[in-house]
Amino acid sequence: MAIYSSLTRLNLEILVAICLLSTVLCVRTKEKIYVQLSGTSACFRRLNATHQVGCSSAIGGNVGVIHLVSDETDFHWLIKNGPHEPYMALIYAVNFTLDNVLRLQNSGRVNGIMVLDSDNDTSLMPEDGFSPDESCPGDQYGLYADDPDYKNCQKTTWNPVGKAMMFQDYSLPIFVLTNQTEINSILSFYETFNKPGVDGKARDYPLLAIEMKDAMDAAKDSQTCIRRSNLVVNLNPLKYCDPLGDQNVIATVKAIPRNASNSYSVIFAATRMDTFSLFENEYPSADSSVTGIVALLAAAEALAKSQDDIINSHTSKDIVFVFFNGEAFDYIGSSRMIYDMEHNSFPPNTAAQNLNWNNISHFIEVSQLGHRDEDKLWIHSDPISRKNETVRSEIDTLINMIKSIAVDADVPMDEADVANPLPPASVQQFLKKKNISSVVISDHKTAYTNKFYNSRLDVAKTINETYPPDLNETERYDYITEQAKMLANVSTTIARALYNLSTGDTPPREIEADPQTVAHMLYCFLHNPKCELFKQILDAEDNKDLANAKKPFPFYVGVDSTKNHVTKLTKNLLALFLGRKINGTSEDACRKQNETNKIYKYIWMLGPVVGNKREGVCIESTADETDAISPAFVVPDYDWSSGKYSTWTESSWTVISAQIFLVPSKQLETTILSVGVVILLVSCLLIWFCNQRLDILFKKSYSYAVSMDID
Amino acid sequence: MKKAEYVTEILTYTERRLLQILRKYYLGGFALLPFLWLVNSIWFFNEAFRKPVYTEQQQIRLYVIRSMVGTLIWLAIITTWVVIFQLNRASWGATADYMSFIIPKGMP
Repeated sequence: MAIYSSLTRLNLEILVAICLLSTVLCVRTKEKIYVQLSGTSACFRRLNATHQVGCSSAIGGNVGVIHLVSDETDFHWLIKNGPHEPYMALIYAVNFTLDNVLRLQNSGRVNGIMVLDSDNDTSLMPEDGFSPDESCPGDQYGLYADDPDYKNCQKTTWNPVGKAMMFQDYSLPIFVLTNQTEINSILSFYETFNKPGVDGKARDYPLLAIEMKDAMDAAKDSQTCIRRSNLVVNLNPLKYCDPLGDQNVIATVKAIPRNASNSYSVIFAATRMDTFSLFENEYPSADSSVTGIVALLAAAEALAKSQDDIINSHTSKDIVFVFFNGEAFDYIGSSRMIYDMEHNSFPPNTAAQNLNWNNISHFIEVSQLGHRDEDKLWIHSDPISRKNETVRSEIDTLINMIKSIAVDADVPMDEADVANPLPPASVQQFLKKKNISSVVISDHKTAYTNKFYNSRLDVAKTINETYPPDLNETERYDYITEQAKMLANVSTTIARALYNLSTGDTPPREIEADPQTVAHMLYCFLHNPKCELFKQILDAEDNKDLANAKKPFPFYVGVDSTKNHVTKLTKNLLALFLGRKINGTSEDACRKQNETNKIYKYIWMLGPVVGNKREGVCIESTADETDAISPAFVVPDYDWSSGKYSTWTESSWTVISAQIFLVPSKQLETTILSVGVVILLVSCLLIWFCNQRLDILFKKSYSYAVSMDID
Repeated sequence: MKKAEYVTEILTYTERRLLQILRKYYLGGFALLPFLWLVNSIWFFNEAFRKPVYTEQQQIRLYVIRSMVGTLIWLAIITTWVVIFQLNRASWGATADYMSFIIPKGMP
């Protein structure tokens, strides 16, 4: 017994000792070999009705020896001479073009591409611009898809830098590395281990290699992966892909009554909320959509100062602010809104009269507003609508009114060539239904002035939204940049134009957008979401989320099952600007009102700090959400080949990772393996031999056991 | 009964039982259960071909050979089907998906 207990104690002690040792020296072999790269984002796979686009690695990941490709000699060396294939090409952002990617891919000697992209270094930005979108974005699903005079951007190529990189199916993984420290360390390892000699002679092993993993689950097209996701033959059903989609944000100035007449007239003021880029989590969208969102929100705030004139008048037209989502992917949001209107379910609020395109008297859309073309903003209109006399004179009146208001608000604005069609815009979906007098205001006369349309490089500094170097975060938050001043003037113009359209009266001077609010919104959307404004408009729960934000929120529509931060923030800002405070309500009571009162929506926000804590406010407004999920996923038995609606889905994946390590020479690898095999064989032999001679070895203990028994 | 007779009795009894089971499996195989034939072909191989001659062996051998032929035919059918299916899975589209239990990831 004593022996037994002392044995257990000994065991325990050994166990404890092992545990202690392992805490001290616990470095797994894996970690000694690999270094994970944390600052990477991957290109992944998306699908539509006919194609798969984007990137995928093999299931176990792709591995290759690193080679830095910075000029033509490097390309040649990699594609023709390098003896250690397969290679992984390191490539600077300036060289990341479709041609170069295809050259590397088609050489068959490259297993993956890593783009070096640093936030701090502007010199790495391609000078001529970079846009992964098409040169004629969204044309197939727009107003002019089948129009012999205007299709395929015959009159004007809107996005000439766009080489449609987004819509290629790559057979290798492409990652972007944005962390400057990691870029530096990879480059220094490269110098040490991989860089070929001056004579172009390859280096000997050990060489630095990289492994990229982003194997995609979906394949072929959306129909296939959606069908496979819905099959329930398996015990654990798999999701192969998810439809892209989110929510549109809308708000009306008046609360539309249930039994309004069919002639209830509204003015749409719209913009789009989303963008895309080749890489996951890199969706800055400064000019592509933020300028539009901010301008429209500030216009709502400005208009709210005189909104009682509109609300209290019986003859005034209602104004609907609309922020469309998923527009970058073949107009998901706007085509869904049209679909909802066709089915009498717009707006979603059941207490309101249903609206459709016949109720819309005017449509003003703001597009990109961050730049100026010939130092002006430009008003575009649809040449097809203009063929109708009445509509043409309405549009002309509208344009002249906006232009005269713009002069007053110090915004240089002019009318674009009437022979040109509308640039890509959500209003195109409405014009398919009816000739509405509509305009699109944007910062380009013909081709985009934005050289980084829908790309990861469409960052704040490309629209000069930068701060003097010596400011701290609070000062930056309050700093009114030139861009903010310009946008505020644009907002004033829009707000006053909307007032004039609605009431027919001259807009009062008090309708003026606040440059400070514009500056705050630009800072929060583009620089740092952990800002005072966002903290004020979210509730306690969302504020916890906000505290974890590491960089500006992405402006990518994402999959339909997750709700975007940007959507919620836009809705809450709109509610704050147009709505009113309900005093003396608790959080629960505020939320409860949503169940009983169908006319308004109630949102609880933390509000400003009073004393030393945020008391919270209840906001009553008409701000609401409508689905921005393509009708293709709603219509039963949708004909996928019809090309009527957007069919974009995003593939699911299990893991995305990139890690670097040193590969030894084949000689060393073979030696290690052979030694291992020899050791295995020898030990097998030894065991066999011992087994044969068991009697000799254990004779004594047997007799010992027997004698114990007898005892 | 003498001991020797008794032993012979038991032996022939066993062989008769074997034949019975073999027959049952063989007939069962026609109910689209080729694995029964496979079992027959392997399990009764020694009995049919490698044991010294006895009365029932003739019949046992007959059934085993027939089971073997059946197994081979099934093997040919299944192999052909698998090859055809794997080669055409992608191009058959929806039909092939509905036939599949596990659909590979990341492939058409």
